[in-house]
Amino acid sequence: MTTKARGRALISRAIQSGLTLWVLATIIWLMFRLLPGDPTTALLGTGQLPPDAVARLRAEWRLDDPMGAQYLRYLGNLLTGEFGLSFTFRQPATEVLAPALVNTLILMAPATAISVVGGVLLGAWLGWRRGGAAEFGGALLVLVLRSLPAFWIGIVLLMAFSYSLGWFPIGGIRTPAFFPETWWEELPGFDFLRHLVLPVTAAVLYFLADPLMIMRTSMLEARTEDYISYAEARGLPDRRVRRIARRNAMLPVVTYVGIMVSFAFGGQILIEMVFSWPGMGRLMVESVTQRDYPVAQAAFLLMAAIVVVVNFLVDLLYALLDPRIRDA
Amino acid sequence: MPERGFLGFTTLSGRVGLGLFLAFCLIALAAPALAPLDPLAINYDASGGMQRMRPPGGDFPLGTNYYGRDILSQIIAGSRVSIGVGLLSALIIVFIGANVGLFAGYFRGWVDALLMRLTDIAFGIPFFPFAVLLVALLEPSIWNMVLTISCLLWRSVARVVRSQALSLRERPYIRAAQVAGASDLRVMYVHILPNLMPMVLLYTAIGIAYAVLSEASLSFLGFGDPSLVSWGSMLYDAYVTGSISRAWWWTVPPGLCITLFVISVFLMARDWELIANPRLAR
Amino acid sequence: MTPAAGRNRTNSNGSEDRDAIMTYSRRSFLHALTAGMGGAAVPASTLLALEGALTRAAAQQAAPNGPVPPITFFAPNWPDYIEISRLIANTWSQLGVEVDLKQGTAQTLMAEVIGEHNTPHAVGVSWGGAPDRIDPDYFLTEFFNSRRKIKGGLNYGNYDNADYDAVNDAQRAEMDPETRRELVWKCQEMLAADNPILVLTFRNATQPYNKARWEGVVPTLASGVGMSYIPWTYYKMKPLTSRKVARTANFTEIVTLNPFATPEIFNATLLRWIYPTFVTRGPNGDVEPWAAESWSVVDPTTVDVKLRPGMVFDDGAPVTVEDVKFTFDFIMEWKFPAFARVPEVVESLEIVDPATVRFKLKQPSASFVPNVLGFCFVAPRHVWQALPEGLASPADWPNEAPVGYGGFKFIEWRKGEYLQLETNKHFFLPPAVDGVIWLFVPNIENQLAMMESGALDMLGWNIDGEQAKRMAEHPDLEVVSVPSHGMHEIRLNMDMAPISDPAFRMALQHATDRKELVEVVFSGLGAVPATNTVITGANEFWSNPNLPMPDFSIEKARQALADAGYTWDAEGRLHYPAG
Repeated sequence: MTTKARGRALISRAIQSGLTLWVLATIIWLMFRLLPGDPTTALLGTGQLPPDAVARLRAEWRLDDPMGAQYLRYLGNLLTGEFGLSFTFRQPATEVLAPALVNTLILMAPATAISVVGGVLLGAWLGWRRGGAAEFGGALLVLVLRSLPAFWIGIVLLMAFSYSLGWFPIGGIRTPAFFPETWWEELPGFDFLRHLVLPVTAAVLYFLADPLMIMRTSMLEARTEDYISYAEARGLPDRRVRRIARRNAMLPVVTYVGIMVSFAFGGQILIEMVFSWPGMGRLMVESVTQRDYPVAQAAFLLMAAIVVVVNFLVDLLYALLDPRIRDA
Repeated sequence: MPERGFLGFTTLSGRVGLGLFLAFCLIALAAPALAPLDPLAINYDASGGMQRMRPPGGDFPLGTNYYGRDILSQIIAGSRVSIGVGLLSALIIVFIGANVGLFAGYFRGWVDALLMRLTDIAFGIPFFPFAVLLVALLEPSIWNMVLTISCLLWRSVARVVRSQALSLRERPYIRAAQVAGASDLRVMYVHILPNLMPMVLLYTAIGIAYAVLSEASLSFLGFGDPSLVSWGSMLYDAYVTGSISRAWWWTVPPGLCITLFVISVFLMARDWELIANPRLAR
Repeated sequence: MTPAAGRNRTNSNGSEDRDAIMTYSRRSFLHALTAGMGGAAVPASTLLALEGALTRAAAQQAAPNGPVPPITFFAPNWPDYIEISRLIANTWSQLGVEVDLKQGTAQTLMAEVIGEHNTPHAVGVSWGGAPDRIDPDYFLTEFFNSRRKIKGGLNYGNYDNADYDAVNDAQRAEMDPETRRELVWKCQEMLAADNPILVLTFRNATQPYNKARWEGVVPTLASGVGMSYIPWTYYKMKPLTSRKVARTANFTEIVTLNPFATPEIFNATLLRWIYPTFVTRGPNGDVEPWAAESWSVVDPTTVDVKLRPGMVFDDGAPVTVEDVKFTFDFIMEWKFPAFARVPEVVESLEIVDPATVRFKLKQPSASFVPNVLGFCFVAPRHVWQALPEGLASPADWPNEAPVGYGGFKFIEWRKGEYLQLETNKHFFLPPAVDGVIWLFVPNIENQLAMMESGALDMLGWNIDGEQAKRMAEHPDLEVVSVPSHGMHEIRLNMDMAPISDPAFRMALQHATDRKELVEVVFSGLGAVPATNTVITGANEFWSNPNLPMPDFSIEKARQALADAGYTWDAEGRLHYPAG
């Protein structure tokens, strides 16, 4: 492929991604407009409210503008990263979202990284060893991990390590007004890390299965490739052959990371609930149930955008990594 | 090509999976006859006191829950909803996904472009938050749950089937059928689809697994049907009454059932995978 | 959890119907849309939507002799109401009717039932024991006055009785407590005759606290020892250990620090710790002076309020009558939704002397002192006058560093985590603690375990009997249970057959097993109402004791139906009377 052709492919892929985002943005907008009920209800007091106050709120939130105008304003605002004031928090939606996003990242970044690296290493090892206890054990591990409901893992971890053994805190992201009682508790970050251990473990156990399985399968396939047979025939040491196989077998995992990131952001509502973690997932569920359009829209769009952008980047990375595509 | 075996179950694990799966299905089918007590009835002792949070033993092999209901009976009754939602959703997922993939792969061109953009968009939807949104919109019921799960999970089936269909349609015998004047639909459903069956079966199994897990998760968030018991809603009840840490006999069995059922499906899927992707068996 | 309800719209009945249709078509479209995302599932989802509309249509027609349609019972998906729904379905179905359980989030309930008045046959809701609900006016007017039978109003059961309205309006304007009591009792009597509501229980306020760390908690009506509503405990409790900051928790979070912005009880009452009201309620529910030193009713429409001397804002400025006048003018000018009760009652306000303000009321108002003076506060004029430009309303201002004058000062709010408050030693009644931290812990499981591990000192929301037993097993914890006027109830839709038939409502009263319900749902920690009224018997002065609650008896319920001409077919299904 010439550089020019590749550039053109890249541009068309980027346009496609943009189009996907636009459709998603429209769907999200439509869905929130179709929610039964009026957002003003959520805010108003028990009892009575003079009609002029309702009118005022609706005008303030510009809910009475024609749908088309609302839609265009929404799209225009999207381009500038403007999502409006949160109906419940009365703050820009992005300001409400930012701390929750940070909290989710704190939880999900290590969990995703550990799962991918661990999954690749473990999967490569398992895929290289055919037959015997290792394969059986590996297959069983993948099977069980894939079959466990995420929230149940969290519950079982809590039962074992918090309620019974008391090693870890029961929930939350930190102890407010934490008073250290021993020298190790005074270490910087101690309290915070203690809060992080169980949720990250739960998330890793939940995430690990897929990269592990993909890597294992891909490794099994790589073993049968001609270049591996060739490498083996050349008498390269097993370790080096395995490294070659691993490099090539990693491609599907890379693709999968895109999907995984979307899970990491959205799918973790349950882990956040079980561990009372103040992250995006929880905020999202709350904003949906409270009809807080601006926050919910911003959160959904952010997630969708992350997924689309990550998928785009994965395509790029894929092209860089796969010699067949790169050099074709 | 490995021997086909019974329904394609060539390995011991596959047969174990099938056995487990059938056992669960039988329990679900015979649930009303099997449950020793009414799963929604509150049990009282002789002096009229509620049998709350009884550990396993006596009249209650798996103990009772916070509201004095028999856990074993709830597990048995719950299998109906959990498995039912799983199977139904999986069927819809595969039905939609296979058709979208088939049309896209067979017709290519603008049909392909349109359907695959649709699939891309579906992939851009964060599954769980959207599921929560949809269920919240449509009021909690198992039908809406099935609808939600199937609306969101057909995407991967569509992608896989399309790529298979793309390559199949170039095969000589397909060309031959086209030349012989077979209609497009006939070629698609009679000549291409049967070749995709292992793949479709595989994705049905995976679909069941994801659907069961999704049902459990949504029920755990309280979006289940209040008049029905499912494994997920049992865990929700335990959770909201603050009983998780105290009544292991309430927390462990539903989770275990979900896990075992999903395992049984994955075990079957592994064998189908061997057929769908013979390279793995070499 | 308390639904904050809605707004008043001046729609006629005709447009309400149109809105109902709109809502339905909007839903159907939604079904189609979501299905459209899945392609082939469209017919199934359309069917689903249709089915809903059909049952609804069928439910509204009472065909003579025809079978009674399923009774739709809607309740929020809170744990207590899930269980209540099951119990209700069980006993009601013994009358030969099907009970169709519907559940949704509290927000759905608010939007559909309170906001749109799309009321099914019966709706279950619980009402927290907020201080402004102690006065009988709240429940009697908001639930049953036909003026509130408009979208956003709380009379979503469509009770419409002109005689009742007259008596109700009279009690609102009656300033003499004894005379007013007669009218309040009369109101309750009329309601007991019509049965527009099934009162289920007045749930006790029950919370644990850590007695190894704290002493001197104050059991308070409807607030118990931990809730934010009337926080005597937090003002009076003393630390027994070196940790002098108390940690407490609630399920939900506050959403704003702006005291003008929110009507939600937890948020609003918590902000009153920083901005105290003029009067408060004592532990037994009596009205007591708070930021006001005293008040006097000059004539039925004139009330003088004397400000407590020596109060200082957190930034050092004194609290003055000018600030009071500013605050009320501000409320009247901006018409904050949360303060709708103020312009409804207050005509104007003037400064009499440097310590006294005079309220002029639009009409005599019996609930002015408890519900206006007990709800409003003083905002520092120098802060709120200088708000940044460009706000659509001061309610939009985040007020990130509240300047108050109460017993507690704002320190920090971490969203999704906690609100930290510090004691204000300058307050006339300085709390003994150094501060209070409110954690937002979304599930009871974590809350209970945190109590046991010592991470929390008390809980800010109710637990039930079984959980109380567990807490009491811990050597450091003690549980306190206090009666409340907060209520679990089922509102009946007076406009929908068969509910529209008084005999049917009476049958439902008999078919509701309150004793079982309190036992099963709250493991006994609630009052089984002995009288058929929305004013709890614990509110002795106002509650009418002469209205016995219809006892639980399926036989009597079936008899009531039979007397009214209902019949049962061979399968036991209930049929409407002939003709």
